[in-house]
Amino acid sequence: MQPTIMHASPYDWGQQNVRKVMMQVQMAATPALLVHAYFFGIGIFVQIAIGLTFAFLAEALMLQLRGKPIKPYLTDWSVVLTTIDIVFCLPPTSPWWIIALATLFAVVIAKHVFGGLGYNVFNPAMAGYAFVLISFPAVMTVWHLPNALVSNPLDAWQTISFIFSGQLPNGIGLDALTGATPLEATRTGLLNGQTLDQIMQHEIIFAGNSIAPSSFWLSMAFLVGGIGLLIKGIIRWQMPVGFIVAISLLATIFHSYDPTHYTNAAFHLLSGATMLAAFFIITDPVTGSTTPSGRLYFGIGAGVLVYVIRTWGGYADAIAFAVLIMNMLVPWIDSVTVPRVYGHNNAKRAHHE
Amino acid sequence: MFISRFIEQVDLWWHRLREGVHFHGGIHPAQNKLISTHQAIQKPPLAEKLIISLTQHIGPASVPQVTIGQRVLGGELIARCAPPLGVPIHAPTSGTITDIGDYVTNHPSGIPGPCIVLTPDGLDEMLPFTPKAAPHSVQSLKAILLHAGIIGMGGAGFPSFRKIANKAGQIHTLIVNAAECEPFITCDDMLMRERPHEVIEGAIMVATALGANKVIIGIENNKPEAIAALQTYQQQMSVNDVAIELLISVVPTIYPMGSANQLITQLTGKEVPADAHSTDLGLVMFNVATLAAAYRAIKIGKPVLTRIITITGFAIERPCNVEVPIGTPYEHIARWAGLKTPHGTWLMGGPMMGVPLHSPQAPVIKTSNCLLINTPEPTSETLPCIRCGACMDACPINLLPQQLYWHAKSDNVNQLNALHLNDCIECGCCAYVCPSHIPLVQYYRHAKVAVRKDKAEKEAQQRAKQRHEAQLTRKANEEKERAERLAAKKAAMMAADAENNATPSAAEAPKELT
Repeated sequence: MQPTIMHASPYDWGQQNVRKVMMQVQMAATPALLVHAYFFGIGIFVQIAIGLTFAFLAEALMLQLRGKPIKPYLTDWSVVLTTIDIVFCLPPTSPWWIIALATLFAVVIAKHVFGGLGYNVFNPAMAGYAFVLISFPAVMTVWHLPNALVSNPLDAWQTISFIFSGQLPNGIGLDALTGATPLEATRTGLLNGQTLDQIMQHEIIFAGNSIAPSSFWLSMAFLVGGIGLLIKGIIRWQMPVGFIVAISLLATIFHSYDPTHYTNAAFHLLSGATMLAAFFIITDPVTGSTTPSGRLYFGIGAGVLVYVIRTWGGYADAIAFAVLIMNMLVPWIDSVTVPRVYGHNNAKRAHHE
Repeated sequence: MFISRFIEQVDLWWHRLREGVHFHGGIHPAQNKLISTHQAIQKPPLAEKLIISLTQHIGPASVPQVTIGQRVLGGELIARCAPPLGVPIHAPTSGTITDIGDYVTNHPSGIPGPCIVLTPDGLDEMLPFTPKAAPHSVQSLKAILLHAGIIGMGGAGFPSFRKIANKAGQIHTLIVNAAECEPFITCDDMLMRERPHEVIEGAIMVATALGANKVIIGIENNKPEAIAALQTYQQQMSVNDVAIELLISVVPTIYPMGSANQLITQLTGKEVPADAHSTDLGLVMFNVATLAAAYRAIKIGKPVLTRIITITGFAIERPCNVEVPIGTPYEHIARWAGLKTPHGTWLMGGPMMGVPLHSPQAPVIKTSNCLLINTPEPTSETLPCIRCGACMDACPINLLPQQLYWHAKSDNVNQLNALHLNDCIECGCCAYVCPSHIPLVQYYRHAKVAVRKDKAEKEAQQRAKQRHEAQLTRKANEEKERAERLAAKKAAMMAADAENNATPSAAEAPKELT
């Protein structure tokens, strides 16, 4: 009788594992997927299918090239999340090669070149999205209008055909199907000297409201999923709270200063990718800050950048750039926000070599 | 700075609100305690051989006082303590000393250590024990604890007499650690259920001797039977003994509640400063088994001869608690309780902080609290760290385990020190919650060695530097002295020459000039 020697304590592990974490995040994104499909048609599922194909191929290829075991790493399901994050940012009927390029850039350059899962400095989804956004600006700004606002929306087959061939059915023009996103409409309108009231009245996407219904419900779906993640303990409160509070504060300050030219907090929170970012993008653990207060600073920083770029920058929405800039600051944030250790008086700053 | 403190406070408030826990972090592993509490404390038959380790405690090995072939009685001193940290060891039963040599003991390395082997004669003849007067001074208490061979029986193995302050009145509160937060282990639970008087009387006597006015028993709420037993005894007793306030404080079940500093924070709201001991706060903490041993040492005059230990695990047929003589080989207990498989994983202690057993023949020592034998489970693969921070949220010390892991991998000693690696208590919470299943504690143990080595090297360098500088100064001084001596000699010679050659007119010449 010889006992089986084990290495070192502890010998008991919790139920959580990386795969489960990733799956739970995907579950939380499901309501938003359904809402998206309700407003914009099945385009998003086609995009996901294309994205997943390229993401898994790229992941397998890179693992092979880097001499890593393929099966355990491929099945950590992290590429699925990357793909879904990208897809939510892209126009639902953008051509297949856009999503292909974005996922390839995300997986190959942003993730594996930096060392793969856990080692990447930049959020892969945002790096991939930023890559196609600055490389193909014309394609990226053509957003599909919600089906309810189009007299003759594309059916499933027409959508697939359009994504792969770029051909629309006879009699349907591109202009009839597409329009500006709420953020773009506002931005262009303000640049042309219109007031906010005029923009909201005239732009079709708002459908007569101050917040576009598609944006509103999509944001709500992200919020619901995000709250689920918070309750499950997958994400921590600091990042979404810092992010949302920073955007709301800035928006409120400028809106009360000049309500005709600065949109209010509700508009900023419920338009574009704010809620997606708050709960699904800036909360990426690998590229975010890891300390309790660092997470808050990370959220605040991303929120400030989003507001600044949206209001005065060259892009209508700014999640990708805000997140990528904050990613660069993470090592510094982490080193200055070391928490106070039990029995020690002051939090010591980790000093650098 | 302010925001950091605020965030930490918010997390603490939330933790307190939700779980009633007053320290950071903690986890809820599967308890598996019920399987070993069905039976009363059992007494298996004596083992054929008792292997009594001479390193029962922290500190140097005790010194044997017996020779091979000698017959000893139960309770007889067989090894005296080696100062400053030792305690004496007594024969658990009557028998013959058959060997003094190296055997595999409880040491995590599996390297054999010095032991005395006692072959019991089965008569169990005991020395006559004489009850002692209840100690009324710190010195008399210390003498009793030392001579009874009492050490921290919760697992620390620190000689108890060394733990208490010298002056009476320095300690105002005795904290009884009855938390028993490790999964599977129930020996303290069963002791309190069956012998609440030993625990409470022991605590009162120790507190009286220390001049303390308060005893707080910190017990996790997963032991309702033990709590009831303690409360019942408290009610019976309070009639005639009211000098000391006795508080049975039921605390939430969370691992590692039984860690000394965490229990102190939970019960008193105070943190033990990193550069101080609990005694500096006027607190001293003893485990329930230690206090029961103190009770027997005073009331019966009996030193530590036996130990209650939990024999449990999913590979054990009849999990229960047994009271066995110190030195009983673990295999003897395991066979008695019934083994389901010859290929179990043998652990001394619980699954969170237990130590693997290298030989089934290793013996029970005074700090042994559990033999856990489970069937081997497939180990899950380790994935890269995804920086999720679950480890940080679980750490009871509020360290940054994920960053420590990073720096431990590169032996970055400066960063490890800055992040207070040495405050890590190796409780295993971080590794337990890690979704990537990284054996974090193992990295920290390795890194602690690197930090110690680095410190030793730096000290050696410092000493070498001092020696070198001293040598340089000495040489410089010698050089200077020699130069001075030479100069003096030269000056003397010159002066002598000048005197010889001098003419009065030459000596007076300057005067003329002025």
